[in-house]
Amino acid sequence: MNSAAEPAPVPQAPPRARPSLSLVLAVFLLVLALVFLGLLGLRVLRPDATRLEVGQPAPDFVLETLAGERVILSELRGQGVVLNFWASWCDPCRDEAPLLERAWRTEAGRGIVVLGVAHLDQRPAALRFLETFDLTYPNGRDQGGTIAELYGIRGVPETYFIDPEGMIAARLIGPLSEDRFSAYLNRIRP
Amino acid sequence: MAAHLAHLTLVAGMIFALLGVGAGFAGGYARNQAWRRVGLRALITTAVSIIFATAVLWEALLRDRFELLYVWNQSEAALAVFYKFAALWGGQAGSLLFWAFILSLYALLVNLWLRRRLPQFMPWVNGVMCVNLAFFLLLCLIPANPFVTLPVRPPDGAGLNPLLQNYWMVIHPVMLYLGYVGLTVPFAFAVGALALNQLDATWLRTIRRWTLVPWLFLSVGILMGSQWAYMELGWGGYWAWDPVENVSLLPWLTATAFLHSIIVQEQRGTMKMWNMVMIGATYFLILLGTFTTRSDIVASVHTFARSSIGLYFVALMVVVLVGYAALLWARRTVLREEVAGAAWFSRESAFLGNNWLLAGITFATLWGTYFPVLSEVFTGDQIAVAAPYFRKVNGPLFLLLLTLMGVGPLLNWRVTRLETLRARLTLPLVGAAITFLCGILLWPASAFAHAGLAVCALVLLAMLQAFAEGIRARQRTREETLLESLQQLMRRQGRRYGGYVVHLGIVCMGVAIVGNEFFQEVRHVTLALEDAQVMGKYTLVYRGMDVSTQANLTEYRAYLSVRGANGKWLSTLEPRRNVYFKTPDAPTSEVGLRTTALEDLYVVLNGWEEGATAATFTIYVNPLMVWLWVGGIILVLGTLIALWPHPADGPRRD
Repeated sequence: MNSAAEPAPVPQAPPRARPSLSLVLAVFLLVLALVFLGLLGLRVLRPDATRLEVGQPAPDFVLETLAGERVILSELRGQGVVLNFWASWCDPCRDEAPLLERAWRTEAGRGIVVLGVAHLDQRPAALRFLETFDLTYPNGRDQGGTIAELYGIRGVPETYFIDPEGMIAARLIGPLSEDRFSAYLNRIRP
Repeated sequence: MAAHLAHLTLVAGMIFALLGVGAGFAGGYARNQAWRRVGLRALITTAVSIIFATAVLWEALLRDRFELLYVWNQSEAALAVFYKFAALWGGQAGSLLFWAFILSLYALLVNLWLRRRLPQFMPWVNGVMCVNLAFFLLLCLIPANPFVTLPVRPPDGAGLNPLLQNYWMVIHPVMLYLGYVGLTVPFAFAVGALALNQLDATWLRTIRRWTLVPWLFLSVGILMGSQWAYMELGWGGYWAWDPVENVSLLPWLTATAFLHSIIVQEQRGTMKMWNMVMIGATYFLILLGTFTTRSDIVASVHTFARSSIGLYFVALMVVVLVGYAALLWARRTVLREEVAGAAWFSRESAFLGNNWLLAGITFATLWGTYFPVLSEVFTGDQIAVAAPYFRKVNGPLFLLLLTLMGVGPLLNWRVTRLETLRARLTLPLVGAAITFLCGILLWPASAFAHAGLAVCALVLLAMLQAFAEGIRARQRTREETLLESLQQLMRRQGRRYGGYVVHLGIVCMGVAIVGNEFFQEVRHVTLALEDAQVMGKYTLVYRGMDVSTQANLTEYRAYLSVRGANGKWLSTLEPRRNVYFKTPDAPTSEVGLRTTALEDLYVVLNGWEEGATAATFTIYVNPLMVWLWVGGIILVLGTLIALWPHPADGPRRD
C-alpha cells in the first residue's frame, strides 16, 4: 500500500543522517498497513447479510428518529409502509426526497406511512438534509448499519414497500420514479 | 461433461502453478538451468489449462448450458449473443477465471518477448506469475467455482444484471482487467531485480513499456467506466467517488507516479527505493481493488457480487506486504540513495513534487474509501464520507498536480537559472492570468473554478511552448518543414513529446471537469403533451412516448424536440427507460443527449402518466463535457507515441 511508500527518503536528505528515523517510520507504516488488513479481515469474517426477497416478511426494527421518537416497524401493522434508505451525500436521494414528502402529506390519512432511514450518514448532515427538503415524515439514522444489514441493501437509495400484513410487496433499487412509486403504493394500501 | 473436464483441467493447472512457483524460485536462487526450464514449462502448462477452461465456460454461455450454475445465474436464452459473451466477466466466479485467463496471456507474452533480453530475471518473474495464477486458480476451485453443475437443467437462466447490459459496460471491465492484471508484470520484474540485486536502471528501461501498456488500458478502462456512468446511470455525472470507482483510480495514481519517478532513476540514479515502493504499492492496490470490488466490503452502488473470497485476498495481501517489505529491507543498502544534490528549481524536484502529490491523493482517496470500515471499528457506527470529502481534499491536490504538470517540463535537470525560468514561464503565466481575469469578469462564479481554468491555460501554453522550442531547435540545424520537424520530434523523442501530448489530454479533461463541477445546471420538470420547457438557450417540447417490447426487456422511449434560442429546430432527444423482465425492480436509464463543443444537453426520463399524457424529466446542461472524451482520445494517442519504438531501435532493444 502506498503508506509503506513514505520511508523512501527525499533525495535531498543526506544518507545515514537519520537512518533510525526512516526505519521507525517504515516499521510504523508497515504495522499500520497490517492493522488495516486485519480490520478488513475482521469485517470479512462477519456473517453475510441475507438478501431479502419480495413476498418475505419485512424484518422488524426499532428506529430512533432524529426528532427523538421511537418507531417500531411491527407496530405499524395495518398500514402500508414505504421504507426508504437514503443518505445526505447521495445525489439521487435529493431528487426523490420531495416525492416521498408529498406522498407522506397526501397519503398519511389513507393508511400509508413513510419511513426514512439514513444510511452511512452523520447526524448534522442528516438534519441539514431534512431541513433543506422540509421533510416531516419520520426519519432516523441507522446506527451501526443494523437495519441496512437486516434488509441487505445494496446501496442508497433503496426503497421497500411493506403491505399492511408486514410483508415486502415490492422493492426498488436505485432512484424512485413517479410512475413506479404510485404503482407500488397501490399494492400496499390497506 | 465438458464442465467436469474443465474443472479437472483447473485442478491440474493449480498443481502445475505450484510446481512453477517452486521451480521458478529454486531456478532463480540456485541459478540452475534445469529448474528454470521446469519452471517455464510448468507456467506454460498452467496457462494453457486456464485458457482451455475459459474457452469451455465461453462455449457454455454461448450455447445456453443452464445446467451450469454460473451460466444460469448470469445469462438467459433471450440475451443478445454479445452479452452472453460478456457474461463471462459479469459474475464473481467467471470474472476471477477471466483474471487468470488474462494473466496467462500476459505471462506467455512476457516470456516470448523478454526471455532473451533479461534471461536472468525470468525464473523469478515466472515464479511470481505462478504465485498469482495459483492464487486465482485456488479461488476458482474452492470459493468461486464457475463449473458447479445443477442436478437438472433449468429451461432458462436468471438473466444478466441489467446495469451490465450496455455496450460500454461490456468493454470497460475488459480494459480494467487488462490494466490491473498487466501491472503484475512490472511488479514481478521488481521482485526479480530485488532478488538478483540488480538494481540499476537497465531493467527499468525494459519494463517501462510493460508498465505503460497496462497503464494505458487502465486509463481507458476508467474513462469508459465514466462514459458508462454518464450514459447509463442517469444522474448527469461521470464520477461519483464510489468505492468501486476509487479502487480503479488508486493503482492508476501510483502507476502514474512510478512512470514519472523511473525517469528520475534513469537520468540521475536516485529514487531507487521510492520506485520499488511505488510499484509494490501499485500491485498491492490492485489486489485491494479486486478484493473490494469482489467482496462487498464497502457499501457501493456498484457491488455486483457478495462472497466468501474476502479472507483469501486478505491473506494474500498480508503475504505480499510482509514479503515485499522483507525484500526491500534485505536490499536497503543498495537502494539507499547516492545523493545527487538538486536545486529547488530543478526537474528532479518537480518529479518529486509530482510523486508526493500523487501519493497524497492516493492516501486521501484510500482513507475516504475505507472510512466506513475504520469508523465502524472506532465508533461502532458506519459513516461514509462520500463525494464532498473527495472534492474538498482531492480538488486542490489535483489543481497543484496540474500546475506542476505545466511547470515541471520547463525546468532543467539539476538546476534551472531564474532567468531561464522567467523566460519560459512568461507566456504561460500571462495566458493563465488573462484566462482568470476574463473568466471572472464574464462568468462570475467560484474563484476556484476560474483558478482551475487558468491552470489549464498555463499547462496548455507551457506544453505548446515546449513543442515550439523542440521544433525551433531542430530547424536551427536542419532543412525541414514545420510538420516534418514535429513528426521527427514525435518519432525520435517520443517518450518526451508523447508524454507532453498525454499532458495536453489531461488538460482537456481538466477543462471538462471544471465545467461540469462548477457550471452544471439541473432542472426537474413534469411536462404534459406538447408542453414546452425553457432551459438555458434551449426550448424542449414533450412530443409523446413509445413502448416497445424487445427480447428481454420493455423499452419506454420519450420524444422531446429541442429548439435553440432563435427558434431553430436542433434535434429530437429520446431518453429511454428499460424495464427488464427478469428484474423489473431495477429499471435502467438511457439518457437523451445532444453534444456540442461547448455543452451537453442531457435528459433523463424519470416517470410518466398512464397513457403518456405527461412525463417527468430531469434536464441537465453539462458544460464542456465532450472535452473529457476528447482528452481521453488525446491521452491514448500520446501514450501510443510514447510507446512507439525509436527509429534507431533495432528489433532487439525494447
